[in-house]
Amino acid sequence: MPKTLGEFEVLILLAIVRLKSDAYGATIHKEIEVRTGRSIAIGAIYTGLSRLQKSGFVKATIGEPTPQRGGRRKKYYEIEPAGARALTQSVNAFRQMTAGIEGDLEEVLQ
Amino acid sequence: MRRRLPRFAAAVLSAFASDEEREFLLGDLEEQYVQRCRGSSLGARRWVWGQVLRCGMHALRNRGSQRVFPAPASTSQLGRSGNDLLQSTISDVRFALRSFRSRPGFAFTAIGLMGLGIGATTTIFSVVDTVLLRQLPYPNPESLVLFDNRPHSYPNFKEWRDNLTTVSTIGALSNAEGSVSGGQGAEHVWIAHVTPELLPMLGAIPHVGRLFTAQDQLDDSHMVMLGHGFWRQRWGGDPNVVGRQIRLDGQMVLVTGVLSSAFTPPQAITATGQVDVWKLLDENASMNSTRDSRTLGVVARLKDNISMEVAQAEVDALTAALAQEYPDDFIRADGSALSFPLVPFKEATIRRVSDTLLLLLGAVGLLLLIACANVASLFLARGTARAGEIALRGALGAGGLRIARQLLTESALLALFGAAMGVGFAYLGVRLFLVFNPGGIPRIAALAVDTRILVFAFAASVSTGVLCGVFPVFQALGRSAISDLRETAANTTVGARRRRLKNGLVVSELALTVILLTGSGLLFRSLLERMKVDPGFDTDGLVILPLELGASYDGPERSRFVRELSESIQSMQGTEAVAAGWTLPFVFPARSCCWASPIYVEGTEEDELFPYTFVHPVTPHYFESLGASMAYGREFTETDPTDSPSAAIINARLARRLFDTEDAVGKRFMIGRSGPLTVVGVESGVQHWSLDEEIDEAVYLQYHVAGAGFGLLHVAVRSSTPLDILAPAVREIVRTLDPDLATDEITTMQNLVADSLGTPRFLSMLFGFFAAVALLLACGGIYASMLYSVGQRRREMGIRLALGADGTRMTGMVLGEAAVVTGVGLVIGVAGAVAASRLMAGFVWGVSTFDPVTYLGVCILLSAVAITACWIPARRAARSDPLATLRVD
Repeated sequence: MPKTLGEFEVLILLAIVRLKSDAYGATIHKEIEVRTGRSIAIGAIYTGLSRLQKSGFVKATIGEPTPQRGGRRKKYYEIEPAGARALTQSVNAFRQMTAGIEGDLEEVLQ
Repeated sequence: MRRRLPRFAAAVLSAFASDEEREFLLGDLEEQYVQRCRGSSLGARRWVWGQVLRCGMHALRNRGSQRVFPAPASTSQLGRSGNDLLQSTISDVRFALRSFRSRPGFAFTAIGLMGLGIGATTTIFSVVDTVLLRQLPYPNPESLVLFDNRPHSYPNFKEWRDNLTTVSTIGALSNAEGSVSGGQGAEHVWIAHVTPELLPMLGAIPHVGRLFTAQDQLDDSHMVMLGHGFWRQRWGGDPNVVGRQIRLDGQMVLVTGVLSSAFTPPQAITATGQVDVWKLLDENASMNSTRDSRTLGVVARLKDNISMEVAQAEVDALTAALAQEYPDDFIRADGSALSFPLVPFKEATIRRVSDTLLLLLGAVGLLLLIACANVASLFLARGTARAGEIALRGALGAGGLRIARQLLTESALLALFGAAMGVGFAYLGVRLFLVFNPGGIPRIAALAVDTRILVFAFAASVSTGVLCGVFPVFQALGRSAISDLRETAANTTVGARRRRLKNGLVVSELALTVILLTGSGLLFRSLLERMKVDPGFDTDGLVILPLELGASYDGPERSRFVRELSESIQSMQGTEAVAAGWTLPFVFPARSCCWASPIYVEGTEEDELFPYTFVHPVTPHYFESLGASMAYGREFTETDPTDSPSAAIINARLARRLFDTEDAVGKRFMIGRSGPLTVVGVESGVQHWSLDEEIDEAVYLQYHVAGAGFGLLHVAVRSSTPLDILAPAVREIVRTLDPDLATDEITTMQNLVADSLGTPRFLSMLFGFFAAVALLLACGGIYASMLYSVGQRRREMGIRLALGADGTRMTGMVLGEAAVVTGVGLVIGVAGAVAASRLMAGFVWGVSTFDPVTYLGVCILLSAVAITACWIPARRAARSDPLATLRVD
């Protein structure tokens, strides 16, 4: 039984998938903030990423240093097959659970 | 320019990141920061700090979830390795922070209370440190000594300079006021006439130009050095003023240099601590040629390895030899020999204010204790709430010491936060102190919060933390885990011991508050008593114009100037009376500028002289202008002869002393060795120096006869015109008579009288503030304690109510407890106040230090406040629903 993902981990994995080959700390952070409208601590992103890495869901490669980063290197993330499976599972579960309830939710909100 | 991540933010953030992630995290942040900077750099900075905050909270949350409690290490494990200790301290700190977050109200209150106490204490300590503790800003300050019983005459100074072998250098200074004129108009200045040795001895260095030399004094003494501040203000820091002539009191003098801004004038011997112009002392001036003209403050530097005693012995021997030669000048009026005790220069500088400041430090210390007691009782109440948790930890194997350390860490941490807040308060407090202090505090200009003060605040906070935390620790150590668990589980009515401890704290708070309130009350009463004193004249509508007629005037010219000025002012609309005197009441505090002379009465033995008596040269209409009354006779008129002194006015006190009757008109006496004077009038009692001293014996002579030798002049104008209209008109009149005279010191008599009460008013204000805060704290303390007590006894009260007791009875029970606590606090406090009243003796005036009104007032006030504070808890006790309270348990 593979580990189930938390909501925040799902968001990180989705961001990595969206960003394709340009997924590293800053872009992931920005992607999530812009799309969800939440302010997030960059430290939280790193905590999440290292947990995902430990579970074998993502792998990291070290990039070249750039001047925009004060000469610091980037750490690029890629999704692993296990990660893709877990993400699909989570997204499917989410889809299943949300199917057909939009109208009901709106009713409650009004 | 390329933007970089703010360095401090980067440092904080890297502390949150693990070693392997640090580089990438900082890189990511910098990348985003640089992007955001293209929008607004302020927004970008704000964003970075937001990230710092968020990451900090994230780190706390994240680590917190790993362990709920710090690892229960047993005492034997503690300190086995430094790393263990560090680890457990870190976990203690983390745990403490979490526990504060869970009860923010408690943490905020405790931090606020400690911050208030530490802030107030730090403020006063920084004053004490600046004024009393620090060394004087001169080289080898410990070898500097002051010749006491000043002022001294120049001939005496010369004897010391030429004959003393135990001192390496000796210098003298005499104070004056004057005007610098020319160019931008006349301006009032503080002048110090100094001998050439004084400035080098005090380590003064010139900013530009040079200091005076001994040769200068022989060649030409018309030389000045400018104080740095005055030079900046009047000449805008122009170095070319050196070598030029400027006009000082109507005379041209050469500027040889400007003193460095780092040099502080010696406060013990200068009039105000401010010197604008340093003038080379003129050896040949008339005031420096006789032994009975005493104007100098004298400072010397002892030779290496010479003790004060050795130097004093030499001075005494020299004095004895001189007394043989000049008996009149070395014998006091009462027949005793005049002596010149040497005093360490620092002691001489601070002795006038040290008692006041130490009293303030004591008061603020009491305030800190009250705040501590308050926080300690907060801790106690919280300790009760946490008894279960602590007991559980004990049961799980945490040793007593481990728990004690945890509790102490919490209180120390709170105290540290309190200190941070206290330092903030202290910054504010120091500013306020500088604004509101009554003046005349030596060295106060250097007051600032610096490293020493921060160290003090830190030390104060640590001891505060320990003091506050020690009660819960003892409590935690002195209990068995089993009984605690049982007790908490049962939540029975036990807790009485804890309640006693808490009540004890409230009692001590109340007692300390009584001491502060009493002190404050006594000071306030003293101030009121002082304000009630009749100065002997009418201060209302009296405007004072100080003038310095410099060396360009000789005696007759001064008289002519005073006449012309008086006539011009008299002719102004609204002027009721004009008069002048060498000095006027309240213009100089504490006899700092006076002329005193021995008096002989005609018909008594030649050598029966009376003690030194103050002599005031005044013009006609002096008493009329002041609104003072003559008890007998008349005051001087324009028709009195002015060629030789013949008429005198004396005050009633001197009349009684000399002639055993106040009606002394027609009696004759002599001042010093001059011709006989006839009393033409007796004045009934004008206070000349301050409101709180007995009136000195005084003689008034005609200004035109006796006062024209002095450059200083004070004009008193009684007018119905308000100051802001009168002052410019008077200035214009002076300007037309002599454009070189500065008139910027014009003021009202009411201001002068108010200034003379500056110190008592300030002291009373500060004490009042401390006492008010103490009252507030004590009131909060007893309120919280009673609330807690009611909460503790909820069950008992529930039972009582259920058994038929009525609400009023419950209210009475709580108020009864409050009354006992208050009563005990009052008794102890009054005893403490009586003990402390000895320390107040020097500050209390016009009332007894055991003033029953004050003591009674304090007791009534405190009881009323305490009982009011307990009203809410008492009502809550009465309203409690027996069923609800019993069901909770």
